[in-house]
Parts: sequence; structure tokens; C-alpha cells
Amino acid sequence: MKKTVDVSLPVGPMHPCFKEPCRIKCETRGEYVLSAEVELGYVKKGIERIMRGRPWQEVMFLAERVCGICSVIHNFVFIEAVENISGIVPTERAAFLRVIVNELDRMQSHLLANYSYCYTIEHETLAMYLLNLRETVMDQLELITGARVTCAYIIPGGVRSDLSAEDAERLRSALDHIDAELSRFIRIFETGPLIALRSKGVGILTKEAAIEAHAVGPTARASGIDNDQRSTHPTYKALGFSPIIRQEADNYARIMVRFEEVFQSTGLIRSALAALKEGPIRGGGTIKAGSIKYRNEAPRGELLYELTTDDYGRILEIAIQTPSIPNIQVCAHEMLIDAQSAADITSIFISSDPCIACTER
Amino acid sequence: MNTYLYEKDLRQMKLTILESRRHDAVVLELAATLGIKRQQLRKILIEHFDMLFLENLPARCDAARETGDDTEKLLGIPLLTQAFRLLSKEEGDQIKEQYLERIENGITEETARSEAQMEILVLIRS
Repeated sequence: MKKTVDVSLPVGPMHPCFKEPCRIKCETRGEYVLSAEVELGYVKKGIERIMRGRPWQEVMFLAERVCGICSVIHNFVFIEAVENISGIVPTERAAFLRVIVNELDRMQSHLLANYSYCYTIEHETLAMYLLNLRETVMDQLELITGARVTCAYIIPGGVRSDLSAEDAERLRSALDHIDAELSRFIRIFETGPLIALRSKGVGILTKEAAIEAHAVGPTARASGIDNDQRSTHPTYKALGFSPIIRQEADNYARIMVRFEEVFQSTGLIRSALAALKEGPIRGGGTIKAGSIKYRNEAPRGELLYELTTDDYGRILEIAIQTPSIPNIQVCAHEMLIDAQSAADITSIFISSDPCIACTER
Repeated sequence: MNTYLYEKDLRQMKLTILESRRHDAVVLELAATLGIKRQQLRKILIEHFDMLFLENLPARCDAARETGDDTEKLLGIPLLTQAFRLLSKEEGDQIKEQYLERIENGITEETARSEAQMEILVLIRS
């Protein structure tokens, strides 16, 4: 019988399928993956240390620089955290505008994640379609906030700029276009035989393992876990939000949860636009001293800010727990184990929507 | 896992992760439960786990704190078996059983607990 040699297979830190550097060290027997470890440290920013001691006006801009893909939610969570400490309540119109911008950000993040997955499994056509559709979403973000990435749209007590009636109409027609195009792309994804071969039954994450590692976001929801912080957020509750959950627990489920959440986001934006009433967009307020643990749902899952402020509005202590940390950990230590082919390593990893910038913050 | 020459360089990075605010809190919590210094626990963690696992410790502890009965929580079994993965579930169950047996046999809770701590440390270091 031919001797089977155990091979240590390093993937990364630079890899064509990775958007950011990280090293996955896999132990394989032939094509079979026995174990995997992830090494970080290539893009560490030390942003929590930079934030410490600075006034909230500066930290607000730093917060959205934690991640270049989901910058709005960092702005959202940080501002709502300091609002909660200080007893500031945003105006009704601003609360709905926040949801609109946050959901646009989620849409572009999910489309980018699914683009990366399709690119990784070599379905470049669908990947490019999705990337093109993402541009429509980015245009809407720019329309409302004036910027594509670091928008700094959310401020204590409100938002920075209003949405005019014409812009709201433009946004509605863009949402119709996104829905129509995305339905077509999902059909391609659902019916593609090669996509199914690379996705169904690959990278299984059991519900128990997901709970143990505190997996969050679409990665957890694709394994049947009902965990979405938007369910407890007052504005989302007012819009009748309920999370999307699937049971297959494989690559396919994770991608499909993201696709379905894009549809859900367009629905939430339409509801928020319908609920928008005339009124002020800024309520004002002063940041006070206090401590809080505040969380909300980023595109990749639960984002936690633990911070302490003083009477001058300075951030004395801050710790950020981003969703990519548990998701990449559960990916490396659960999903990659027992992968039948080394070719699946990258697709499984990308299916968890890893963000190294968030992880290394 | 194979060890690479550069891996010894990772120790400082792992320590940096464990020194951050939320990580330090969970390390202190478990070190107090085990009755050892935090530096000793840090050394064990650095030797056993990769950087990403260490980075995810606070979230894993949040998940583990929601499980286990009062005895298990007293001995830190959910943290050890689920969050830190320093013990297997079977080992955790065995330590809990032995602890309850000792109390039934008339040993004081404090003594039974310190004996359980010793057993846990032997298992972790073996």
C-alpha cells in the first residue's frame, strides 16, 4: 500500500482569493484537511489604543476606520453607545435615516462577500455581476451621505444630512433595480451545477459548534441559530424585523442567507422610507460620563463596543469585539476540519466572510 | 501541528492579545477559579492555542457563561471545557462527580474545591 504522507499546507498570507493578509496553516493527509490554525498580525492597527484618551468627536471618525467594508455600523454602534450613556435619543426621522444607511451598508457588504465567494469558486461571471450590482448600492450610499466608505453620517442625537423627496424617489427606483437583478443572479447561483458541487455539503458548521464558539451573523444563522441583534433594536422592531435563518449549515446556506438578507434590507429600506415623517434630523445633546457594553448587528454579525467616557466626552477605555473574530475562529477550527479537498480551504474560508481589518482592528 | 522557526516570534503577539482589556478580564477570572497566577495561565494558553483562538476568548467565555449548573460554574468547568478547551467534556464531568462525592463523604466544600483545582491543573499540564 502506498504510504500517505502528512503535509503541512500554508495558505497565505498573500493569496489571490484573500482580500487581506492572513495565514492559514493546514495539516493535510493527501487532499483531506486534518487541522487548521490561523495566524494574524500582518495588518494590526492598534486602533483601540489610539482611541483611548481622545474626545468622542475624534473617536467617532476613528471608529468607522476599523473596517473599510462595514464602516457605517462602527459609526452607528459607537454613537448609539455614547447616546445611551448620555441619555440622548435621536429624532424619529434620524432613527429611520440611520436604518436606511445601515441597511445600504449591509447590502454592499453582503454583495461583496458573495462576489468574493463566487470569485473563489471560479464563477467569475456571477462574481462580476454581483460586483457591478454593488456599485448601484454604493451610489445610493453616496447619494445620501456624500461618501462611499467613511461616511461619518451618524452623529449624537441624529444624522448629518437629510434625504430629499427626489433622492428618496431615486433610492426607491434603485431598490427596484437591485431586487430585479438580484433575483436573476440568485437563480444563476441556485441552479448552477458546479456551484452546487463546490458549495452544498461543504464546510459544515454544526449548531452546537457555532454556539460554543459564539459564531455570529450569517455564519451562525446559516446553522440554524436565531441570533440577530437587530431583533432587539427599537427602530428595527418598529419596522417589524425578523431574522433569516437556514438549516443546511454549509457554504451554500451562508451565501444564500446573505442573498436573502439583501432582499430583506431592500424591504426594510422601503418600510423606513414609508415611515419617514417630516421633522428635524438633529436633536443635539451633551456626552456625559459613564460606562456601557453596547451591541448591534454588523453585516458579519454582532458588533460589541465596551467603553467608558468622562464628563468632558473623552473615551477613557474602549474595547471592540468585531464579528469576524468568532467567525474566523469557528471557520478555522470547525469548518475547515475534515474538508475533503484542499481546494475547498479557500472557498470555506471565504464563505464565512472573513474581515482581517476588523479582526486585527 | 508542525512547528516553524518563526513560531517563537508569535509568543509576544499572543501575549499582546492576552494583555488587552477584555482578554485580561477572562484570564483573571479563570486564573482565580483555578487558584493560579494569571502569568501561569497565560503561559499555558500561549503554548496551547493559536492567535485567533486567543483573540476569540472573551466571546467564547460569554457563550460558556450561559451554560452549566452552580457546581460547574463554581469549579469553572464551562469555561475550561467550552471556552478555553483545556479539558474535555468527559474530564469536566469526572471532576464535578468527584467534587460532589467528596462533599457527600463529609469533606468541607473549601477542601473539595481546592482538591478539584489540583486535579484540573494536573490534567491541563499533562
